[in-house]
Amino acid sequence: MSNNDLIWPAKGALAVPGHQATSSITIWTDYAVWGLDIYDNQPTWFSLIELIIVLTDRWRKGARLLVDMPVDGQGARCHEQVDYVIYTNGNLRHLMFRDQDILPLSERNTVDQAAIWTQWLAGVKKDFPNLDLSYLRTMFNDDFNKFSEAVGLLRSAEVEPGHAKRWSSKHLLPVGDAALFPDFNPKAGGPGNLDRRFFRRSGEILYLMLSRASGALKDKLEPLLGDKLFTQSSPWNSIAHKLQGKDADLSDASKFASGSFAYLPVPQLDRYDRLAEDWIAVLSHDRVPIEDSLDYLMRLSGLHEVLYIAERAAAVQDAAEPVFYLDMLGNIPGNQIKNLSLETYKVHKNLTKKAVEAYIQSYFDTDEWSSVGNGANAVEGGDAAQKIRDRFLFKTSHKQAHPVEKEEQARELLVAAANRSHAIGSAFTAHARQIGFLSLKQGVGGWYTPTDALLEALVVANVDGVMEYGEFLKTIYRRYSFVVGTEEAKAFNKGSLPAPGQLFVANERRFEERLLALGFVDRKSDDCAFVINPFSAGKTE
Amino acid sequence: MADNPLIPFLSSYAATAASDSLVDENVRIALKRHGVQPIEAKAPKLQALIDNFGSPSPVNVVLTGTAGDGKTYHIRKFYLDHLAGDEKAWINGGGIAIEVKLESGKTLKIVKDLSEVNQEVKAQILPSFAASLLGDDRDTVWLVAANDGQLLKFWRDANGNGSLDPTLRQQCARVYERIMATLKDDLSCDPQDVVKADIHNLSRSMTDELFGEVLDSVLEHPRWDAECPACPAADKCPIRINRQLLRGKSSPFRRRLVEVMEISKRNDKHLPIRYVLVLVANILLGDSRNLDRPLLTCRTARQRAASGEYRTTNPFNNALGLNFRERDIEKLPVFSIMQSFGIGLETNNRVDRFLIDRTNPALHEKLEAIDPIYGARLFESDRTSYLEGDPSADSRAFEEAMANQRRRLFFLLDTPPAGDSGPISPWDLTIFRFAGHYLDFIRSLGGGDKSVFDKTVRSLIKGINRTLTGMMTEESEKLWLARSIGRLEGGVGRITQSPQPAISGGSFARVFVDRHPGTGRPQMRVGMLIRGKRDDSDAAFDLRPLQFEYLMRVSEGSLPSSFSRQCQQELRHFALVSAAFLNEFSPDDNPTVTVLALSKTGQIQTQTLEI
Repeated sequence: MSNNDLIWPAKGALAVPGHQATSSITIWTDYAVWGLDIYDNQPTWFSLIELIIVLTDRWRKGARLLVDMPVDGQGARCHEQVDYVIYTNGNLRHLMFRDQDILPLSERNTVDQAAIWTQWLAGVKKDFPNLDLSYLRTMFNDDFNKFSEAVGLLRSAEVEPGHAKRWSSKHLLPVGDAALFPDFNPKAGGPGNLDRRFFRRSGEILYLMLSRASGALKDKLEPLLGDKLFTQSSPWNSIAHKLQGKDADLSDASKFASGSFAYLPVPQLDRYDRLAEDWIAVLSHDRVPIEDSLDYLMRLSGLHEVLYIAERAAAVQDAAEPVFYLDMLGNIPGNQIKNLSLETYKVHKNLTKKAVEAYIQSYFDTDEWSSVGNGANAVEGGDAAQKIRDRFLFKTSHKQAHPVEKEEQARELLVAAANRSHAIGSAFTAHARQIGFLSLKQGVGGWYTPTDALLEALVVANVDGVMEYGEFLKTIYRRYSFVVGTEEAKAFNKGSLPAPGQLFVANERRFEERLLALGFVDRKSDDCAFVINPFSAGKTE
Repeated sequence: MADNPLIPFLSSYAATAASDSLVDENVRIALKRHGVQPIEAKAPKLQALIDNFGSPSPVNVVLTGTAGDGKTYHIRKFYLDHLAGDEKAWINGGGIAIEVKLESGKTLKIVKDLSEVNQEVKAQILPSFAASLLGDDRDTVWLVAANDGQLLKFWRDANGNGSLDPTLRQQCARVYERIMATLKDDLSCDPQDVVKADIHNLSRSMTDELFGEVLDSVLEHPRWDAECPACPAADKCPIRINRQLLRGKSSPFRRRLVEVMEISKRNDKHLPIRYVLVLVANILLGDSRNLDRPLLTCRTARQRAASGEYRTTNPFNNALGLNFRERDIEKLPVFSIMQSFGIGLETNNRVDRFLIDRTNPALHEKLEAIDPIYGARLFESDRTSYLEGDPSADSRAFEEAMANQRRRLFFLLDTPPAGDSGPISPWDLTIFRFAGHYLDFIRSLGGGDKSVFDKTVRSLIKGINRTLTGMMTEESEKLWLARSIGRLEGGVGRITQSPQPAISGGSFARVFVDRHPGTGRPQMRVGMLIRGKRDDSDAAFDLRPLQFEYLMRVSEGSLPSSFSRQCQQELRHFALVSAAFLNEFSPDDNPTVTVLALSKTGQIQTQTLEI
């Protein structure tokens, strides 16, 4: 049994709490720096769903939606401990993702609705004897067409449709508490278990980030979350409720308990505040329906997560803060901005690798480690192996019968950390692509270029009503380290330009054209253009 | 024989079109170099200045516009001619605020050009300027020239200046916010009357009358009659021929140019005075024979007259700046604007048959009577060789000749009466096929021709319904504010949750189309009409020519997704915000979701789900 107290903390990190389940961890390096866990195979939509599952559980319990960091006897802040439940919601899930008969039956379009119900329900009973869906007939007043319409409508709200093959890993847009499902491994004949194949706490990380935002921001955010996600029930949620049947009664429904919770090392960061600000901005728009808001929140949360990865990597090794050149010009010859973007992407990826090295090295620089002898014997090798296991939860190849010297074990640790599958760099790339921020091409590399959906999210989150175009560019530089035009390029490079000025001018112009095509820009003259958020509340004085 | 000095003077416009101080400079150029009476530059807002500052309670005035649109010229004329200002004070007044006492006893402070004012002076004038604008100091008024970006920057920088008094900074923030709101909606004063100022944008002051006046100031210049009669080639001179085509209020060429200007204006591509001067100068003098010498001189004009060679002096091509190299067009934005209409490149069978087969001899004769030089005279040989099927003929040359004829047709055809699709519409020759209809629609707003208004609004509604639902519906009475869950279907919707506003009838939810006071564009809004009282949504769908064209074409059968992403997106925003507005008025006791489908006859069928 590992004792979490001994785990080596990264720079500025909280101690790993005792309640953190670490028994199945084989190497603690990435987690120490960034947290447990930002997972490459957890799509950004699933992270949002996971986050909302946590919030929903707190709302159902009547607890405060976000948590505060507990304080120990000496007044120091400690890591939070959060437990939550996820209801199986099996009836709805079956209707959404497992049933294959509703649609063909409804297409028959006969007048004899009763016959179709009977046929369908008989089919369900035959294939899934544990399911009782007869309540649907009463719910929909014997109208199979309306029922099928409702099912079809909700199905169109599936997220990541191509992602998972198993029905127990398919999810809907989290439009309300009735539309949430656990991601689990269905064991035949049993309730199944949360196998953490796709939901690996990346959403819990977001939850902790929001919980650690400044008090003033949390005071604004919590009521908005309560209102927008729970009090104002969206019509989709109501339809889902209708389809749930008995599962709506939580007192009796089957559920999973989440064991343990995420670990987020740094107690306070500006990045957490930026994330909370964007959530507040998006949720404050009364005129945007929940479905669109969720898309913006997914993208922006993913963006802050990606920025966090790069910024944290730089901080751990005292490197310069990362900047992101957005290439808008594409495949024109001589596009040095794209080259800059390609370069910075490589730099960011490298930062993540070097950050882990720096973290490990920070332990090797201690007296505790240097006091360990370097002999290839059972005692000294064993001492080294024990320390590495205690500090990094990593088992080296040292055995009493075949001792390995300390330096060799150190190398093993570094190699294992660098070659870890699902390393943070992989999550960085995967998530940056999913939110529409990064473009990747074989043989070329990766560069930062925003999709229309991301641009829309940026406008909604950052523009309240109207803002001058130049101010918008300044704002996205300040908040996300995005460089688009000359001013910001100069600001980052201490007055000089890393590529010809006219390219940056063209880049700015193209950025504006993209916003124009999305209906967000109004240019009044050569000197004056406005970015407009059409969803901002009307002026009331 | 002596050349007409007016010609080289006009040439200088096109050559120095990029110059900023065109309007002021030209006075000196005219007199010094050419000995020509200057073309009286109009100061369209001068009277407004005189009236305002002569009144007992004047307001502040800001003149904005791009460099060269006459901001400084206006103020100079006003100061020197109407306030009897001191010439020396004017010359030394760059970068400071010139003070004058007005008749009403109030003090007027004048800033010739805000961009000339350095940081120190800006800090000095800031408190007084802010106080006047916010109405705290009613005894001082300001007259300032600044382009819109500069004006905003002035207040933005003040707000961001940490060394200023916090109350003052707050005032600056307020002024900044109000000016931005005013500029954003193209208004000439703050709708909330917090900032008390008239903002005149001189880049946007072009009107029909002013256009005609500018043209006449060139075309009716005394030098035409003073110099040209002495020249033997006078009656065959291409310059004079081109001039004749533009003269007179009823010239179809002139009328069409005015309509192009009106459409352009509504697309936010304005033609300030200096652009119009470049345009008319080029129409007269343009010569496409040698790209290095794009303009005629008296000498080359005589040569053309002698040889009867008019192919290269085509005024209809000159209107588009086709006598210039493409890269030079960048410096002459007026021609980018003219070319953006695609005149001569768009066509249809009816037009081409008319040009090639002479299907309408009466129309042909009429056009030849107006212009006997650039029509059949240039085109006949190409036409007959095409009809005879000459295999050795260069097809590209023929296409070019056709494009030239189409351009001529565009500029010389009569405007068809509103709603009449009988005669050929000149707009069929451009990318804005519905431009004529657009202008008719604008005229029908606010009490004009009701049948044009109704028919057009119905087409617009049909276009919007088709775009939002993605279905080829025939519905043109009610607006279906449709959407889908999330973005999975690309913004096209099968469901609606709000009432359907209609253009008339019994429901409270209505569709309104009004004229925007600043831009003159039609704007569509939804609102509630209860017992004669209107309650409008604040989100308007701004009908620029582009959006109008899009919706009319979709309503006629074009697929909504086949062009203009921007229009689709703007409609999506409009639908979302309008639906939110209407839902505020409907009680939520029986919330439903309505699923849309299309019947065989193109009607929208609904399936309601109770929730």
